[in-house]
Amino acid sequence: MSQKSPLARLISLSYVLALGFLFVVLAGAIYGNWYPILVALIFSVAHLPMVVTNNYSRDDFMNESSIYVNDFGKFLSGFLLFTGFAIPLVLCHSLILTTVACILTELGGSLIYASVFAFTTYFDSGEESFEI
Amino acid sequence: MRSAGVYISGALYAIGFWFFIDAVIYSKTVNASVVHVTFVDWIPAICSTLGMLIVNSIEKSRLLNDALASSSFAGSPQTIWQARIILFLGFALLAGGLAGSVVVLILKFLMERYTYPTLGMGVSNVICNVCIMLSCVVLWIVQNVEDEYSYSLSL
Repeated sequence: MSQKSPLARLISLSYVLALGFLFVVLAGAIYGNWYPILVALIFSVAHLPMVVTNNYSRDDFMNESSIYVNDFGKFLSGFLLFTGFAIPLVLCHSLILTTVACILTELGGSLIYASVFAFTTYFDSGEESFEI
Repeated sequence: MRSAGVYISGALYAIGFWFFIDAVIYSKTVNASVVHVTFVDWIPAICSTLGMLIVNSIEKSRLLNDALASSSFAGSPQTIWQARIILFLGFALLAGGLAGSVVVLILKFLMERYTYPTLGMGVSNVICNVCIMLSCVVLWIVQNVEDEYSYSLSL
């Protein structure tokens, strides 16, 4: 849309994704506990049900049950996103994770989610304008 | 609007679920008192979840006496009556779960006069059931309000 080329946008998105994974792995490695990896996995998968059901229900939207499939995908995506935010807090409350590890995991996880979200929206609308 | 509502409903369900699991994990690891989260504490959450599943599985067109409804024979009084009974059952389970969690809070925690870190386990159970009920209500409202235009070309 603006003067930024699509390639620069893609590169900055992958940079943000790598930064997110860096934060999560740092939270795991410094504080000796590997639960943040599970949180990173949940954040990276969280947006995918919505994408999958949107593409499924786009083909035949005259069918009434496709609205419910769409709804289920959104429900699952919202559930997984907030699960990802909740697990570090739960672990921190029971002193399985330290506070700094919890904050790092939350930050890293939201960066991962934001980059997956931006990538899927970008890929959905502007895939023709890919010039190297 | 509808998609935001469904998303918020999923978020509320996750918040409620993880408040309860927080109480369960806290009870197992750093709990300093003698009271623990047992099976009795799981019953209100299971009740509320079942109620939510039942309420949201009902086909909305069966409830209304609408002769123009699309699916099969949706206007006959027999099916309307059955659908209303099931809806009542579902909402009763939901309200029963909420009331059950308040009862557990009072009988198990408040009667013995426990103070805050231990009381937090009972309060988490109540918050869980409130969130599950809110999630069910939001989902129900959002799916019922947008019934006029059933061709949704949203992304």
